[in-house]
Amino acid sequence: MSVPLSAIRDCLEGVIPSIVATLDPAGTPNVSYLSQVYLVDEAHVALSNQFFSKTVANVKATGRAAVVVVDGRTGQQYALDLAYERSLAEGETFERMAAQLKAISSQHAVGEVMALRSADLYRVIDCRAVPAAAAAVAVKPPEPVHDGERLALAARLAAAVAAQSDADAMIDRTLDGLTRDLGFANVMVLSLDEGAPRLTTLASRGYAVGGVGSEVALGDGSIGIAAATLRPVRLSDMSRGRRFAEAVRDSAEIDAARFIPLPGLVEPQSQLAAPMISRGKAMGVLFAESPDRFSFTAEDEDALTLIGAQLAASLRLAELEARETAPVVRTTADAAADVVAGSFRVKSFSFDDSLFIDDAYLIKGVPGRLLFHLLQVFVETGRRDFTNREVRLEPSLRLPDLKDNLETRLILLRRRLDEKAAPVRLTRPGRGQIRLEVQGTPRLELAPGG
Amino acid sequence: MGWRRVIDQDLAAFVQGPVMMILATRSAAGLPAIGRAIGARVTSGRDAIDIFVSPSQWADVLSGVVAGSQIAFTACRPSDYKTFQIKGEVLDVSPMDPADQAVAERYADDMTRELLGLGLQPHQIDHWLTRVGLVRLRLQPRSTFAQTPGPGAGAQLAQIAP
Repeated sequence: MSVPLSAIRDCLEGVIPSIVATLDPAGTPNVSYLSQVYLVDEAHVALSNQFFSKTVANVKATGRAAVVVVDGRTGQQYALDLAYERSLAEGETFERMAAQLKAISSQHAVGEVMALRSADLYRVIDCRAVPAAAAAVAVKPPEPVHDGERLALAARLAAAVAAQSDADAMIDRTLDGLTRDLGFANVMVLSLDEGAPRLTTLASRGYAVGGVGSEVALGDGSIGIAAATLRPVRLSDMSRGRRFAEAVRDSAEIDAARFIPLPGLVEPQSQLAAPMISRGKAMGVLFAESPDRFSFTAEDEDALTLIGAQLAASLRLAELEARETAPVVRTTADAAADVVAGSFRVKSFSFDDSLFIDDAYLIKGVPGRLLFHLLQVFVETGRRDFTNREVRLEPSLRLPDLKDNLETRLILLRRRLDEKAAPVRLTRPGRGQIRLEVQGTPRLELAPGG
Repeated sequence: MGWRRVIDQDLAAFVQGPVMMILATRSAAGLPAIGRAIGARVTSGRDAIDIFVSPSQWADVLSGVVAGSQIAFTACRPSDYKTFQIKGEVLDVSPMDPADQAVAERYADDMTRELLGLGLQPHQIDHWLTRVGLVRLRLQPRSTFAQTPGPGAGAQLAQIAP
């Protein structure tokens, strides 16, 4: 093989469409564009098969295909001679291709017709560079591949995340490490509650707004697809695509009064979304993006996946530990601690548990229910200290048994209150403990449903 | 279905516009081979299509071509992925005359404008948008197929008996 397959990685990202040609048994050629060529190993590629039935029929009859791929970074073209091995309808290669294809097709707004039916596995007999057009500049060598370096950094960051005992610190350490050590300038972590239809932003770095509490629908864009498919998604050139942020803005379902804008670049060119998987389920997504093309390599994808898995495992452990903490020791000083003049209005809407403080939207769902409950107890009894344990057992909160990501929801609530500079804040005096810091007197109001 | 109907006026206009063009033949080695075309022109009677190909870039695709060789030609509009495939026979391969060269150069100009307008970078295009050293392939269409991505891809539109 004149060109090793690892050198053409950048071709295989769906930026510039690939071409596939086959012959039928009588020698009649067929030529078609191809949405995806996936690098399986040094000697194999897989081709996506959505609808080009003639290609498939020809290949099954003759066993051979020719493919041309284009390096989106340099424009260099490569010709591949392939021998058909077998079809894949499941397994890791198939699932990764399906997730990537979903992300690309959601970008191009072609929707469900792009669903991957099967992937066809081929042995690569030859891979050679196509000579450049006379007018073109000299062929640039492929970008050097620093195999292993980024993974080593990721392993160190995963270890640093694992060393944290506090869920808040795990999240901050992850994002700080991604920006400082791995050089990802724009990053977010989003959480997903089991059975929920959307992800919620917990923290971000590199954006003008923090966006805590903003939401992404499961299955939408690279973030939603990574969560829904449990596979990383990497996009390298979004110049032609319908951008995810636009899609979110265009959504007809947005309730403007209850909407927190997702932080995000106005014109991202590259995106990388890695699912945070624990016990086979997505607990959230780690996300990075860039205004430049080809910002993320295949190794970055592996690196973010590794860190995402560590963060998921650490957060789950923190969740379990927070349940078993002894009740907080209350000091008598607490009760009379704050006598601040003034009051603020807290209004809860029961139909979606959305909460407004002085008419400004705060949050909805379980965190909204939770804060309203804590404030009710505070107003009735003056108590400010609570434990995760009692909150979990409180029937009015309707927390799903065993599945409550209570720690994550408390982090979300606490960060959202901080970001809004709200007159009520949460602090965590110790593991499994929650303290209300209230500036003024809350006036609680329960709006009728609807 | 008369033979002229294989290429109707709409399809003729489509393939002569700024659309991406790819072709495949059976190479001298007996294998499928791929090339790109730089422009197309439908003859006045719509009974043949001339396409322009760089032999230095796409040696394989021309290696087995003689008069009568089978050829597949696919044109795709980059703005909406509308795609057609035309299958037929090569009538001849010949050097470019000035009129051919003018068609190829106008195509290269239009295509560059189209793709840059869609956000591609010049260096992503320059590698294949060859303007020099082209040859002309004249092909006689036998059948046409809709190939726009989607459930209808592959549907036959027209055919004449061989």
